Amino acid sequence: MRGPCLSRRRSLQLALGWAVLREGLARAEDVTVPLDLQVELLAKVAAYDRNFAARAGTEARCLIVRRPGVAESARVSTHVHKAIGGLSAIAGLPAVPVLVDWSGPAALKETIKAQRAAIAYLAPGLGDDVESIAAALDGVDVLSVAAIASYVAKGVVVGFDLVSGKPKLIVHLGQAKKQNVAFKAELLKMARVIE
Amino acid sequence: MSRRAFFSTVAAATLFAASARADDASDLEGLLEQTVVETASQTAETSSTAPATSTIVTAEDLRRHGIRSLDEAINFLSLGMMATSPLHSVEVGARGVLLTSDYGNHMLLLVDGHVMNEQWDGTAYFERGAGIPFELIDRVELILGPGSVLYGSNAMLGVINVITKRAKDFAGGHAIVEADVPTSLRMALGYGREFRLLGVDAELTVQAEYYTQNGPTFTFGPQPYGADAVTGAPKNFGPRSTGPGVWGGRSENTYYTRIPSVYARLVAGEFEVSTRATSYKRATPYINGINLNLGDFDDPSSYEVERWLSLDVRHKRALSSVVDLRTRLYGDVYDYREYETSSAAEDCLPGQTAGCRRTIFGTSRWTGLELQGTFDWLKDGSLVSLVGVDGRLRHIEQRTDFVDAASTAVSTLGRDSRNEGLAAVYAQQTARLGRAIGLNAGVRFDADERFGTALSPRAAATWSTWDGGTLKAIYAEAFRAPTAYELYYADPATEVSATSLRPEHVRSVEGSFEQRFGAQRVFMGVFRSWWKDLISLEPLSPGELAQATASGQLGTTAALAYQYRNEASLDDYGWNGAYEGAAVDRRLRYGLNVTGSYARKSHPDAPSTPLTVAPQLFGNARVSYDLRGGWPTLALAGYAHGRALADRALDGGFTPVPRSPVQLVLRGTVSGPMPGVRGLSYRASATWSGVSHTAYVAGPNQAATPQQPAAELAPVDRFRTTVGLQYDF
Repeated sequence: MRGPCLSRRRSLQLALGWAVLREGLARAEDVTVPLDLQVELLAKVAAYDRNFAARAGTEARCLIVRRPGVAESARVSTHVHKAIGGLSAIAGLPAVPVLVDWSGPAALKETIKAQRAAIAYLAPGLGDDVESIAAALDGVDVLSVAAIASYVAKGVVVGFDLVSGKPKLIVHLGQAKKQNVAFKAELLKMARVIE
Repeated sequence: MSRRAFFSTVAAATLFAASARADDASDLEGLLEQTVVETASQTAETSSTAPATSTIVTAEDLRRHGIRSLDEAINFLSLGMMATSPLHSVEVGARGVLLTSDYGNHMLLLVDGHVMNEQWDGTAYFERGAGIPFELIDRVELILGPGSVLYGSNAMLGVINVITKRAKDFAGGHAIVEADVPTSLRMALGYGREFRLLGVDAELTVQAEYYTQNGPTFTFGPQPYGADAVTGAPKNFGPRSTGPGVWGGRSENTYYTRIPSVYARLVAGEFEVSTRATSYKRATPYINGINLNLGDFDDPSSYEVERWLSLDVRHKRALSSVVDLRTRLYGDVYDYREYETSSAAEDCLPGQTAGCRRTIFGTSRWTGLELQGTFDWLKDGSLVSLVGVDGRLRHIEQRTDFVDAASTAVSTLGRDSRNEGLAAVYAQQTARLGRAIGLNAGVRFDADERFGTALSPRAAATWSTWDGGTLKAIYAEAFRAPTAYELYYADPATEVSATSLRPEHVRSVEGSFEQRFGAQRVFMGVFRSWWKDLISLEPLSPGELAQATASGQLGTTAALAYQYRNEASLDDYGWNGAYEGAAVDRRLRYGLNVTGSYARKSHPDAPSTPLTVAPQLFGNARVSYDLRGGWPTLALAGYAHGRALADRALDGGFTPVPRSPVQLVLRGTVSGPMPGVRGLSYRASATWSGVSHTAYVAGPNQAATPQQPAAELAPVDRFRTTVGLQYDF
């Protein structure tokens, strides 16, 4: 009887250890570009979108999407919310930041439409949902922006990466077309473009 | 500058700024040219707002200017730092202060945040011996000024942090071969990959390389030395020297280097593991006052070799939206050997009249644990506290062996072995007041069994005056712990161990102003620093000598002996300026850095003197143009060091006083993709030096003699071409 009992305990220990290790391994989303700099870049990049003014109307409403329960997501979204609020304007329009809790791609799509958001900024913690967000936003007139560079390859229009200590713009051109974002050629010359 | 000129400059700057503001593309380019620095506050922030003056050298800068080592990056590209090469370990200085023969221990060197200065003698290398595979470097952050507040010992001149690439920027395989024609060869293999590990995102970057160098050859002397103090016969400098009692000839076998190195980093989720292993073997072609103070001429069996193994395991976790916790476990194994063969009795122990082989051993092993918490109180980066604790255990061993050439009997001096502990706590508070003002204040307290305690505060304020303009004021202190060699080494022939040594200490104030105009940046700064308790090897007075002999610390034959002491102080002030920018769609890049300083060193009861080897005016300039479309990037860089006193100018008694002339070094580089071969790229450069010698006295005559009243200065490798190929697959 002693043998199997120890084995169960050992199995439990191993399972617990694995869970702890996996939990530790699971969170790997690094925000490499300082958030204040991201917000400054965001404000400049929006001005290169030919459709931005028509989309925004009288104000540049910016949804900051965060995942509830994820510490990094909460911190980044709060920081970005304040930084955008401190901007004098985005593409010449008053900047209005709005915090939104992630509750699914369909809900996000509806929120963007209902609020007539010009920008949707995705905070960390949404890595597993970026593809579904990209699919949901197909045909939705919005500039999506990611805090995490790797989100762009999965279907966010614009992201910021840090390479050799300097910020780099990444633009997903295919997704931009799907979301009615038309960047000027001057911007694309300064960006790494994903088709 | 006259008042009219000043106001004209301000008006021009304002107009330029206004026109730049009107240009959106220029604004965006300017933001993309902002550099982000992590090392100054252990938080990623723009250089403009960081609590230090910094230079960021990017991987692209390294490639386009043909940079192959940290000292080249310092000389060709950095602000406020400079390096000199005596044909052995490069020496590094900053803001006009260079403390010769310090083995780099006044500059803290980090690789991905891991301290490279070893724990026996504080040594860090900045030439190829740093053992950092170069293509793996993402950027080098050079932080000027005292930096002990977060890093502890050695950060007196500054902190240099080499940050390696992430796998996304080093994806695939990389094969590199590069040669300084015909003296050196470097071969490297690298690999980077992102993958899934245990169901989560992970990445691996690794590069291994081997560097070997032989020559060039130099001709030294002949230096008449005279009689061996023990035998009375002309001193024997071995079979390859010019003749009995004369040092010199053609050095063909003693300017070589061998460096195998590997660096690897694995990131998986919140965990990061990095490791580095390297060996650095090199020979110096001439006797000098720094690393080779005896030995036969051109004997290849006289050399130094070091081995390093480093491991760093990190974990970071956001405990809440307010608190981040970082844990770091680190450990290093290091050993040093210096082998010198001498045929002269006076270089050896009594009785070793046929000569000897001297070996200096130094070993250190250390391990530590650092815990760091970051508290973003308002969750918006405006009020952030950072607190940390660092505990370290180290083991030190050292000894010097003399092997009798005739009998092979071994005599050991200065044997020492001990364990030491270190504990430190530090805290840093940052606050942002609106968008314009940033404050940073911190302090670190070190308690070290080796020397006691040290307190290192820092306070900095930045003020964003107007669009693109930033004023900065910084006060900082730093220290260097006495090395185990300085504190514990003793031998009955020449040296008494130091009874106690305090850490060296520096405090500095600086102010700077930076203005950005789109992708252009102008920087001007002033600084002042006060150094005290500098450790130096001082001769014993006749009374002290007699006392040491009576107590048995010295043998009865010792006529002259030394001891490390906290003797000197140093006063340094000056200015630095920089201009850098990009134009033509950032294809054209240019930059200029200049530093002027006034530094004086003083000993008790003696007038102050200039520093040796350290130029008081130095700088660099660079320009490059990327032709794009498969065409090469053309680059030209140069640096200049003002005149400097030679290392033995003040105590050698030479006539005339030896100085190095103004040094001008130019390098042209061509790099780009190889036409027709996908993945293959090339780099070729030519480096020319305008001077023929350095500021280091060469040969056994380190002081004037009647036969040789003038100093012989070590030569410079004046022209070298380098070619390299890289294949990415």
